[in-house]
Amino acid sequence: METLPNEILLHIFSYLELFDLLTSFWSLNIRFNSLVCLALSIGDNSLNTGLIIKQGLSYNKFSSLFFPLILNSSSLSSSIRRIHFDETNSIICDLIYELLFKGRNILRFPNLKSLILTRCISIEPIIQNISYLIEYQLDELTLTFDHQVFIRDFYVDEHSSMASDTGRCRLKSLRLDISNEFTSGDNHQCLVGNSYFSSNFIVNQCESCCMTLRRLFIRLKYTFFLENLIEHVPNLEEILKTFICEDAEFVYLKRLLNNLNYVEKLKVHLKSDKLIETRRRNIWKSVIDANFIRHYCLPDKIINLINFDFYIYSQCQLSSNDIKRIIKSFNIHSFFVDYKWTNVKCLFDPIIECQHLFSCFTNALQFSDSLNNYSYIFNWPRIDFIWFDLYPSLHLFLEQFNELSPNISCIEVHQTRMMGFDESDLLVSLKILSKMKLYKGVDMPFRNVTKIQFGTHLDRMNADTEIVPSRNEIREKVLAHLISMTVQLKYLLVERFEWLLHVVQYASDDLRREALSTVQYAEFCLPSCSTGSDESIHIGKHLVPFLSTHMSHLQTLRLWQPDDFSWTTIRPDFKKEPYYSVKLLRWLKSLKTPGLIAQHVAIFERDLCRLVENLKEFTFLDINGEIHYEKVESYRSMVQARFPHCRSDVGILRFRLWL
Amino acid sequence: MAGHKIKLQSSDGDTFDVEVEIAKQSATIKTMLEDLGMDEEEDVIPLPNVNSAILKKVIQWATHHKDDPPPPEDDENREKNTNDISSWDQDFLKVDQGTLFELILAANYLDIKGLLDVTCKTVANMIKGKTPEEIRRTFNIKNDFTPQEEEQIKKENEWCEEK
Repeated sequence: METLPNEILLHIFSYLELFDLLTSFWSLNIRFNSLVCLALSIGDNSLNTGLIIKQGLSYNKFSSLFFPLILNSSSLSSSIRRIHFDETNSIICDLIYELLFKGRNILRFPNLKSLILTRCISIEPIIQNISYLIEYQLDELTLTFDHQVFIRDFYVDEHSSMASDTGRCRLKSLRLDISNEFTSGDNHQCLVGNSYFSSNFIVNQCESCCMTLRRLFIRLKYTFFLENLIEHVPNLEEILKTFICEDAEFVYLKRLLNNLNYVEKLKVHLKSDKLIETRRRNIWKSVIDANFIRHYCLPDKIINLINFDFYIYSQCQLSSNDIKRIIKSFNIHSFFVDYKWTNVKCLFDPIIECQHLFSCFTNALQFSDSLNNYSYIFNWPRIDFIWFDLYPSLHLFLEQFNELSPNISCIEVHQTRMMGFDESDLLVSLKILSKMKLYKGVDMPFRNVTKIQFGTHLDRMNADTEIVPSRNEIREKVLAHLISMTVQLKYLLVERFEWLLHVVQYASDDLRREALSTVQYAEFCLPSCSTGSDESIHIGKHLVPFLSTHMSHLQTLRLWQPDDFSWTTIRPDFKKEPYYSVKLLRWLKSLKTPGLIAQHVAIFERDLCRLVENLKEFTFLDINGEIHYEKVESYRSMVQARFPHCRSDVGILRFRLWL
Repeated sequence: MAGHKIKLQSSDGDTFDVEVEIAKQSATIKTMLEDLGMDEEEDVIPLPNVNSAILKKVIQWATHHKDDPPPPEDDENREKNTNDISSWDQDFLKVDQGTLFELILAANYLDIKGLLDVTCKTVANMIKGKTPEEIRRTFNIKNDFTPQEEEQIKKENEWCEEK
């Protein structure tokens, strides 16, 4: 191996997780030590290198082995230039990054230049350190927040303290994603209502000091958040993306664009997404074509602009002639012709009656924000009753899949809470998937897909249903096809565990053998073991046999349950006997008695042991449920006795076990 | 042109007739053909860094993969996966360590991304799960630390004993 040149050894290292690299190569000899440091020091955004902390990493290993090693070796800690905490699929990161930020350990990386926090849940520790990092170390900071973070952790005081002791910053690039499309804009209302975020976070960070900032990437819904910000970043070269809803905001956006007419790069992503008709939405009703883009999405006077891209979707009815006319409008508009910005695409989704108009000026595959930057495909129908179906139907994306597939790593299939999946969309999607499977080979179109999320509502509220699990043949087949066409599926989130169970039970002909064996992360809602029909309370007993048979490499499991943490029921079957409700109520009341608590502790212990014994690579279990407070201590003692070397956290609403 | 062949000459002087389309999987050879206008059947392309045995294996690999789509570029969105080696490649790479490393060097010199990736993945799979001592034995890696450096490393490592 020592005969191989460094470039090849680094190529081999690139296939190893950082922690495999450290475990196997650190302290072998001088050359390998310097190569490990070199591999760690590569801070390449496009390859996502550096210290990457993500799903699958054992908390015990990190805290006892790697973290002390990195901190105690000056050559290792000084090599690290880029740290990325990716919380998207793991909450182990949450703890790991507390470890790094608490006690100011993060400041022990003298050459840290780039810090990326993706959907991290607990942000308090970073708030305490970020001022220093921004002022003295970081060139690049990326923060992607979650709805939960804003609801739980974003208090004015913390923000004030974060911002108050900083006077300068040396950031060259700031990426901030606080657009949360799942919610009705609560976080933005926080921003608007209290305005602490803009006044404290950005402005104080940037006020009279952000001469260095060159690239600003922001995703948010309300444009007026930008106003204070842009006044303090005179050297901005790029500003990217914002969301917009109403007519007044078009006027506001225009004002911003005119103030920002010195930027070199501009991307605009607009959507109209409210069902409620208002008098203030006339602009959205106009034809969205070249004139619209020139008028509403660009500054009046263009000085430095070199790169411009847009993505717009809106509710409307379009015929094929309309689409042709819209595309042609760019070819005859003198402004777009002069700039050679005539390559646009226009798609119409007939199911949800939605227009997608987007530019392909700088990247031929640029389809949307979501696709280009996150490599996700969405179908995203209405969320509850007040939101429109603004995301394209699944079948529309599948039709485009061959063109888009090199970029797609994640498929999310969304449904409404009340109305379920759009049956016609599923049916058309199934036809397309069957054809893809037949004519395009099994794995090629989905070769880079590593994550599938099937269903939207992974939460306790959704788990709390007493309805007998119903089958849906089309849904089963679509899910089976989607899973089967991947070759390296790692993350599988299915809204209800029984849907997946049904795929194996009833659609096994459409499910590729071993298709689930690569899954490392799984997330489901499980029905209650106490309330509900005799049939539904027994679904949980299939969980461990299912996982050990089909997902033997599983590392992380997150469950959403309406009540207790155990998934095997101890309730007798009432079989719809007379006085069913009375019997059920009497039984539920008895759950607080010492006898039944002891039974539940025993059954939960058995569930946990079976899970851990059957899944050899398992590192983390996260159950969101609800237990009586009388049970907390009993569960805690049981876990500590059964898993003495593991970290655990038992509360009324959540159970976590790190192995 | 389908079936059109060129000659590749190994470091030990053997020549191999190879279809142009197969040889062009090597970016190095493709560039030579295009830049030097070498498209005649008599033209011989010398490959001084690859011996006959290895060149034969490389041609075997390239022939099997002649209809593959071009390998994708590396990027953030694509997770590096070492479990996707086809069974044919797994069998093809059941060779001794020396041959495997020579194949890597040849793939690097000839700039055949697909072959370089699959050979490096194979080595990565050999590494996974091994301790430094096992790695040292498997790949015969010499320890060249001075006693002082050894002491320093021991000090750093004593913090990280698994609980």
